Amino acid sequence: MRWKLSVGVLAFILVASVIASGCITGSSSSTKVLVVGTSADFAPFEYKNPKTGNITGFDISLIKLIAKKIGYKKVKIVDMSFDSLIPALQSGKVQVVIAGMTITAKREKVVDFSIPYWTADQDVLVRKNSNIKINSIKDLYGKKIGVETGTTGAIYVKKHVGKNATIKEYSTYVAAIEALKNGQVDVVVLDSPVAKMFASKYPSLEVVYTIHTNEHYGIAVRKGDTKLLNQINSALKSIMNSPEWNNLVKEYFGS
Amino acid sequence: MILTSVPWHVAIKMLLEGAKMTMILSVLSILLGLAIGLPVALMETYGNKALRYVAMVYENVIRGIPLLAIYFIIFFSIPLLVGIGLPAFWAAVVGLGIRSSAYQSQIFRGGIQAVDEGQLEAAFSLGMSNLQVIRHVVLPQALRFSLPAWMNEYIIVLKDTSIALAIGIVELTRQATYLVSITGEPFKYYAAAAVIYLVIVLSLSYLASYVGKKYGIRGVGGANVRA
Repeated sequence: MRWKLSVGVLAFILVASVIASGCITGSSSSTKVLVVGTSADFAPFEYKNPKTGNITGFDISLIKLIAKKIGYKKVKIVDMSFDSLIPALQSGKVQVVIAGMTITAKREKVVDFSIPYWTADQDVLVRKNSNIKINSIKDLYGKKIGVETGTTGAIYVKKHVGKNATIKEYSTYVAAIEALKNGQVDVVVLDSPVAKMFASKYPSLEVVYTIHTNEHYGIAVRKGDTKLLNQINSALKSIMNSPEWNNLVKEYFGS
Repeated sequence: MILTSVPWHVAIKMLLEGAKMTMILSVLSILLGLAIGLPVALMETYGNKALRYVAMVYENVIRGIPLLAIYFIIFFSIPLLVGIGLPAFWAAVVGLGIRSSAYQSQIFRGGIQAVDEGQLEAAFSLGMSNLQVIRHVVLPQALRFSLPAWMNEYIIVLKDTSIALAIGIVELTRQATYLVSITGEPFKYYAAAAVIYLVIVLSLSYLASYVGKKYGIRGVGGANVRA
């Protein structure tokens, strides 16, 4: 009897999945819903609002404004790990990716990027009581530097400081900040707005230097999806030249 | 935006929401793994040469592919090739279920082989058919023998549900990551998530040991099962 039950469960799963997959694939193309991929662990660009339970943030508000301008009635946000975003775009699971993603030559080979909407300057964060003064990149020599693996900060520090310092990589920037607070590293290099957020949360930390990396965030679409890309670019341009842009910045960065 | 603190009841609600997904995903996956793994184990033990070979290749191929790669194949590659795919939740169940089936078949094969051959000969001499022997003699004992290892496999499946984030499944670990991202307090929320995992595992272990005792046969391995 129990044996038959498990066969029944299997059959149920298979039938249900076939039906469910049919429904989902059938509906996505006909209605005007923009499916957006993001990785919601990068406040204030994308994060989960605990009050509403929705994913929100600078990027999310921006893509909603863009979607409205180009005629999409609804935006569906899909959260996944950052590394899965490009495969999701390529396989058509999402139409757009907005996730604080830096435009790099390597990524441009597999996806198309919009015009830049954010400059990813990097801040150097230290403990106030450490009296570390940074006035140029060279001042980082000989220091223990904490970074988040795979980020602009990590790539930049490796390239420009390299073997002249000890670089410690952490899987999240939160872990890098903990290491800084505990004295395991002397400085942490990370995206400007995020660094400022931590400096205001923890009075023991301060930003002492900003590295101008000349690197930018872009919105990614599938390679060759020129129609959508052009629509996004013109909407982005008009938003950036309007008061809407300043309102967005004010809402999420408070300046 | 400044990093904020989250009221504890909101945090608990978020974590429990994640725990619910973790439970549902892990239970469906382990059942799918059971439904595939047990027949594979029977094929490998009692099948003819061809069936044994098929079962062996299946086990080794599936065990050789990392779960993340299985997810990518099911969720991203297959839809590209055939034009239709599973929604994220069912892709997660199928991926985890298939991966688990290869390990479960090993567990059940061990259990099946632990049944004394003399009993099979005795059963055949009573005129039972192959299927009757499997159904009435082998499986009742093999499943009992397998229970502790099977429970172990469930715990592994439970913890591996967090890998489904790769295809957009928001479960317990992801909810903790959300909280860490908005509060900047990793220890508190990862510790809370760890406690929830522990509670789930401990209660299920307790359940398994209860089942083991209740259905155990005196003198047979399953009687004093501890998982």
